[in-house]
Amino acid sequence: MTNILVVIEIAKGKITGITKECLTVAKKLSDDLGVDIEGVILGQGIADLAVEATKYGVKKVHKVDDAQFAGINILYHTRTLEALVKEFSPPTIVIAGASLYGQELIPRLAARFNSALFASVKSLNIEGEDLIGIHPLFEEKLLGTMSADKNSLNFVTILGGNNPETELDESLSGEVIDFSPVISDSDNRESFIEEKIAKVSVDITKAKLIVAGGRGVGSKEKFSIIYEAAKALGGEVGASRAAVDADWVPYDHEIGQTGKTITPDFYIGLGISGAIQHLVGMRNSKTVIAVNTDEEAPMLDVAHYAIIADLHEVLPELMKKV
Amino acid sequence: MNIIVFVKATIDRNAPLSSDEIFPGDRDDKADVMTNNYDKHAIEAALQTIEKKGEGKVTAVCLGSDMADKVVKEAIAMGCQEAIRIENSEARVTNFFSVARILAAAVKKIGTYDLIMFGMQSYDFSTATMAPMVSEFLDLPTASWVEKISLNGDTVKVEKVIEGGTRTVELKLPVVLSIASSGDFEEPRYTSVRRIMKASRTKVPVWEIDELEAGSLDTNVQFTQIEEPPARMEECVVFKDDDVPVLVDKLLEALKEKGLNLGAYK
Repeated sequence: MTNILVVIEIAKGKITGITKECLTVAKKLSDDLGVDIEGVILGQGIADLAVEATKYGVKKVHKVDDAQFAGINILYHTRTLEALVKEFSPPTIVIAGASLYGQELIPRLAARFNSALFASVKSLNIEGEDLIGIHPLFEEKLLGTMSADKNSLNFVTILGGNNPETELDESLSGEVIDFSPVISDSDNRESFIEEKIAKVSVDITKAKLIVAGGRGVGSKEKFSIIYEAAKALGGEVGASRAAVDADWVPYDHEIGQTGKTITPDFYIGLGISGAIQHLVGMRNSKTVIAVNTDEEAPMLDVAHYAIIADLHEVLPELMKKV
Repeated sequence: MNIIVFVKATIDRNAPLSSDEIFPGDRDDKADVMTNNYDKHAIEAALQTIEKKGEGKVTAVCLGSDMADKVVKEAIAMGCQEAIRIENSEARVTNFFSVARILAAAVKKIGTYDLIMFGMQSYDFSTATMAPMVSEFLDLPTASWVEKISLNGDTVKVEKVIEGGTRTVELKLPVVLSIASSGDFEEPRYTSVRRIMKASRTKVPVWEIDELEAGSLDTNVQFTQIEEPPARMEECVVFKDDDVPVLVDKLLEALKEKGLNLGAYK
């Protein structure tokens, strides 16, 4: 019998979307293996979030609620998770999102157990006696199949944007158990100083239509056409990391690996070449329309329709005719 | 100040890709091989750090076959004072767990170091596991996706990317850092003709994996298959080579045929 332990990540006081995607993967595994999902949540003042986790199907939540965990210290998290994993006597599948946190924490934790890991997999399944994960290579131009014995200790990070988020179900319940932090002196070689998080004013994840702009828009002034078009079509503004980094648009509009994952009915990408980091956040949109001057742009690999022309000519025309 | 920066040779982004030739050692043409682009940001961070400090040495280390020589030379041409290649002919060791063990053993053999740097991920395997795994094998603190570095005595303060912002942590040296492709090290320096000439004359020591005390190179997670993703069922419909109003009309017509209404949310 193999246990499943999901690391429940918190950001901005909420359980992250990628954690809910992990819980979808974990649910399927738990059905196949006939075991419950357990979770671990680390932070300070997180009693409500621990209870909330049970509403997503976690049957037993190990809660590390401690002032030393107010800010994230990866060495503290590694040490405490090491102690928790050691308490599980049957082999365990430890799952976390391949967020920037998960990608820093899980490889280190795995190495502490002299173990490799299923690093950044799109999917994770049981096939006979094996645990099988699919890991994209060369920016998803190839797919690698990773395999390990399902009856041994395994560590996994799941890539965002590949699995639906588990929905909150008020009828579910579970147990919350306190777990004491474990920290050794050497872990104080890392000290948390501060986090700076951009203020969030819009939530683009619920929008039915997204008009997204990238580097190809050209400038902050020219980006106003993206806002106009989004308003005219009744949608929200999206952006690539390049546009956010250039300060043309605030972070809460960013789509992709370090931003939001969206699945609107329409995604219109303008001047976005389609780096894989952006594509992972939008490629499950129902209809993808690309406007780009470059027909070779990777965006066209995921787009359903594309207009090869200057976006500043296309958008006014589109607003006029729709 | 001694900095070790790891560089990786990968198949060039513009080279043809096939699932049975994914390692530089599988290729005959040097043009098919490039420096993992993310590693150039790590080299930039290492060089900026010693320049700011006013003293120090950057050693580039590369695990690879002789096809990786070009990558090692490029690191020197960018400004690394020394370089070492660890021979990995015929891609003997490819799984990232064993690679991390070898790289950690190489650090131990080098012996003196304050900072160990990696690019934030590789273009080919993109597991982003090297910095955290190597730091664990060496029992050192680590931070990934670092955008800013400020040294202060025996500690370093780093600002790293997190979703929606940055986190600042202070770490006691020595440390392992993975460097972001954004922030202070966003634009790796170019090499000059003079430096390239110098690099081509620099003799690079080659170490053998068996000389390093890397421990067991077995891994519990195997890559059992590498293949092309299933082809997309539907091709992108492209409208081009016409006046913009015509292109927009064609798009709206195509959407209408599929029963899709872009104006549904107005």
